[in-house]
Amino acid sequence: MAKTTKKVLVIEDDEHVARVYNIKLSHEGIEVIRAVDGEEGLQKIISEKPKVVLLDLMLPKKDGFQVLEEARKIPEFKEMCVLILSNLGQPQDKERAMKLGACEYMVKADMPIQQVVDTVKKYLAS
Amino acid sequence: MIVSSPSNKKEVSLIMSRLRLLITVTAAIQESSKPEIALQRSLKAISAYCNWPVGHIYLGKSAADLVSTRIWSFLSYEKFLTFRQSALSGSFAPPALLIDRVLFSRQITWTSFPLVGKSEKEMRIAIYAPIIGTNSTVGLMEFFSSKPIEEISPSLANILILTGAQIGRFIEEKELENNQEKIIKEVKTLNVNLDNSSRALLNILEDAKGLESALKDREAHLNAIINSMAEGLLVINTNFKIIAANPTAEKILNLIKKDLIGANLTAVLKFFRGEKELSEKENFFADTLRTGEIKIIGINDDIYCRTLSGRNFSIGMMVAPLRGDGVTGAVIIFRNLTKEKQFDEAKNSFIAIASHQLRTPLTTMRWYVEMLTAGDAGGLNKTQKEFIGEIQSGVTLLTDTLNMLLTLARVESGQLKKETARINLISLTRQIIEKLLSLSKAKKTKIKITADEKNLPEAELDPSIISQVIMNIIVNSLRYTKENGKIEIKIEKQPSGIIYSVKDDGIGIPDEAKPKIFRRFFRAENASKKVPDGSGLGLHLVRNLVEMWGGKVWFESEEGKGATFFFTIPL
Repeated sequence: MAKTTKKVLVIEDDEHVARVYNIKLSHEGIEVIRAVDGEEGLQKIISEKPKVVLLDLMLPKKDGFQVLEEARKIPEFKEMCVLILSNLGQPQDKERAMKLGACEYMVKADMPIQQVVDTVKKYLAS
Repeated sequence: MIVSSPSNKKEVSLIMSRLRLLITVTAAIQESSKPEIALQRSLKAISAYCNWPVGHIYLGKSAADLVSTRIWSFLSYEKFLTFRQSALSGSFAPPALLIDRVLFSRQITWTSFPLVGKSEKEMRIAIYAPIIGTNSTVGLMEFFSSKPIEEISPSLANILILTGAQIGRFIEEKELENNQEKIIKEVKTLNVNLDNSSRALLNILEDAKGLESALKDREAHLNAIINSMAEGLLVINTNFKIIAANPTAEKILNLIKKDLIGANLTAVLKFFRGEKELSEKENFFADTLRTGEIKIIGINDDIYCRTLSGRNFSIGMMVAPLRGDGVTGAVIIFRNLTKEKQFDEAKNSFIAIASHQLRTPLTTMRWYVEMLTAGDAGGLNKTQKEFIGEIQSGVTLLTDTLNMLLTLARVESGQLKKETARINLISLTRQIIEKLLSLSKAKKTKIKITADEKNLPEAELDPSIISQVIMNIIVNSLRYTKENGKIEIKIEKQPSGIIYSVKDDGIGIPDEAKPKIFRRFFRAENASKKVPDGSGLGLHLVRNLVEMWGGKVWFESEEGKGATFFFTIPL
């Protein structure tokens, strides 16, 4: 039971980035599941019910905004913690994601990996 | 004429003498140039002939308008003195009834004249004879006599009447002459005036003609400009009715002039901001008509326009008031910005893609370096750590440069969104210094903040923009100061606003580099030597950002003695 509460879904198409998340989060004893595109991401949100979702925005098949919007329409996932980790840094992107109900918006390139890990841990603990 | 037939010689000689009188009077009149002289001479001739010592002339058509003239005749100075004396001592006016009788009946009349004093014996009789014109009596002759007159003989009366008629006609002729002269004079004056007027009129007409042709030339010139304008031009009145349109307007709106002129602008064109149709209240034309202010709609206002035919296009325009007696309408100059908009969108998406595509591999590099440093792949030896450090600083520099380029691109395309908040500049500065701690520690730089904490007002600015400005200036100072250097940050409130300055004791700016220091990609020679990997974007970005909030940025520096950078925040 304690293990499932630490489940994190990484929706990220970039292999290298996904690998970093996997290494760093596993290191902390966090269970990491991955989806490579938006469609798979949405399916895994529904099937896996992760506690925290790390969501990229530029994704194949369905972009991050759509994933977030559709997930929020499902009552069960209305309160789910979704952290945006994207390299889209324009204020309008950030504004759009926050309006759709993202908990945090992080620009990957500006963020040390340790800070990402700390943020995930913070939300897992809450 | 009353003429009695002569019965004897005596009477014949009397008639002859009276005829002589008439001839004398006629001659006197004919020789006179003026009526006054004629009257004077006639009066004298009659006085002498009849032995009536005093004669006087009245002019006028009735007793009411009878005017006593200065024309007198006296047979002797003595008799005149006697007459004058008695005249001065008594009433001198002839009885009105008598006068009217003379004037209307045109007959000779006489009366005993109630003079007083000495003259009573001398001057007792007043004789009146009419001066007759063509149509009416024009005056009368008055004579005084000392001898009582029982009767004036008909022949004398005839002569006197004839004499009066001669004088009357002469007066009339002279009057007529005078009048004619006057009329001729008037006509002449009138002619001169007319001549002047017509000349003036001709001049005016000529001027008007010149003016008209100048106006036509100007109109043609203006029309040529309006018709050859690449922008559409519409002129509306205060009821939004289109009163003028140029060919470009017809082309852009896909309507011919006939359909445009007289049409209501809001019926012909619908305006949208993004996808939302603008209401009457949001209508910029109404704004200009109401306030008289010029409205400019640019590409960043995101205004679209829909024509009657349903064609949509992005519109850029200027609405300027048309002033007469108040605002009487508006001039609208507009362009189809669809191509510019597409270009702008392409540029924006390039910025977005570039930011994403360049940042992703940078992220990977950054995070793997971080993992290596953290020992996630096992321990590193000293040289390995050193090499990894080099990669890390390269990645950091690349990330900073990329971020600056993107911010600059956004500032220049007007896309940088501002969200203002109340900012405590002192605590913000402290946070930034905290972030730069590793850099300042490495160079052993002391940073000091001077500010009147209690009285410094908060600034209303976008937090990320002001942070970038302060960060860039402090980073520059840190980079270009020597080891163990110091940086002084001063935040002061001035009447015009807040002045923020950062002073360092670094390499300073050479004179030849000073004019170019804010240029994009420019780096001073001494700066490139000291810090080879700068981008030349920092100060350029600082200036762009400061000017965005209406502030100013400048510096004071001497090469080798450090530099102070200032910027202002208007309150």
